[in-house]
Amino acid sequence: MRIDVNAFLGAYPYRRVPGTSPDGLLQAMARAGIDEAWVSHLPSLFWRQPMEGNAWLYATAAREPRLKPVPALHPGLSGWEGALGEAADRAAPAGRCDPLYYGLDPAGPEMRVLAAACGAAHLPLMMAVRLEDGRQRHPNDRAAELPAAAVRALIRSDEDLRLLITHADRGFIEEVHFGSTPEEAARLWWDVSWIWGAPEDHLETLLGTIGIDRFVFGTGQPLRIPEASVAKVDLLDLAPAPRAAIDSENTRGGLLR
Amino acid sequence: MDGGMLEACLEAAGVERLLWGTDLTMDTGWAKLRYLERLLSPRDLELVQWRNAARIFPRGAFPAD
Repeated sequence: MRIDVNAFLGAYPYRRVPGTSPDGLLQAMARAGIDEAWVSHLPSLFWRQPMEGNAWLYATAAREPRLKPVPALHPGLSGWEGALGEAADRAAPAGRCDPLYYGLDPAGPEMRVLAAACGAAHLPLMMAVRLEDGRQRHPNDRAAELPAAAVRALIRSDEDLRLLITHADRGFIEEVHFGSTPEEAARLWWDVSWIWGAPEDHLETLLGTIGIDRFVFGTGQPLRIPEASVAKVDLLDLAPAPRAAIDSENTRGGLLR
Repeated sequence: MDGGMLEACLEAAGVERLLWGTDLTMDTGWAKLRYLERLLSPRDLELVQWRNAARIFPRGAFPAD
């Protein structure tokens, strides 16, 4: 069983990306041996009202049991409490908020209110550090990357909040993890999509220093090819139990409870 | 490795001008070969895997020469 917690549906505004349709994503999942994907609606990340993409996302996921919807939550706009309630009612595995894309202070008052509400609703909150390598971004794609300090501030702001951070590299993860208390760090999960693999193998280092429990399988597909995350974990040559922990069990035990 | 990048390389340069390399990140290098398996015929995949390199490097550059 392999769960990709970090996948997208829909067109990307800054370059041509193949495989953004539901069928395209399902084909890529089959190719890469991925059984289930948590999907976000990519176009609405850039909309002024990102929550308007949630209806399509729910309808699409309802037609395909391998896709689980991760709706957008914008705490600076009216209606976000309703969107959060709908996410819980529809058993969404997480909600997502990308404050720098939304023009919000990533550790500001709106985000802290959202953090508390997600904690109270027992809904993990997903945030991406970035979507693309800075060297390849479109000149008009100027949203800043999520700062590590903001993640630390948010996890500290509410004792029930669980955060799933995607597209983070080793330096970011270490800065947050070792800057947090053990109790705070135990409510953070990191997807493996942006962590270097062999031979320098930042992932192997992090599994040893931070612990395997904190890491979940994610790809960032279709913006990134899913084979990269699969190959990265394959090259660790893990025993079945730790391999299953990354592929699905940490997700099921930590984020889906 | 960004989605669409390999398709764009094949379109722009052609399969006979692509060589496999890793830049010392084995996971992304390996992932590209896995991805190319679905884009290319077995013969064209071999071009990227080794035949193009064997063609352009001097005889004796590889142990199998």
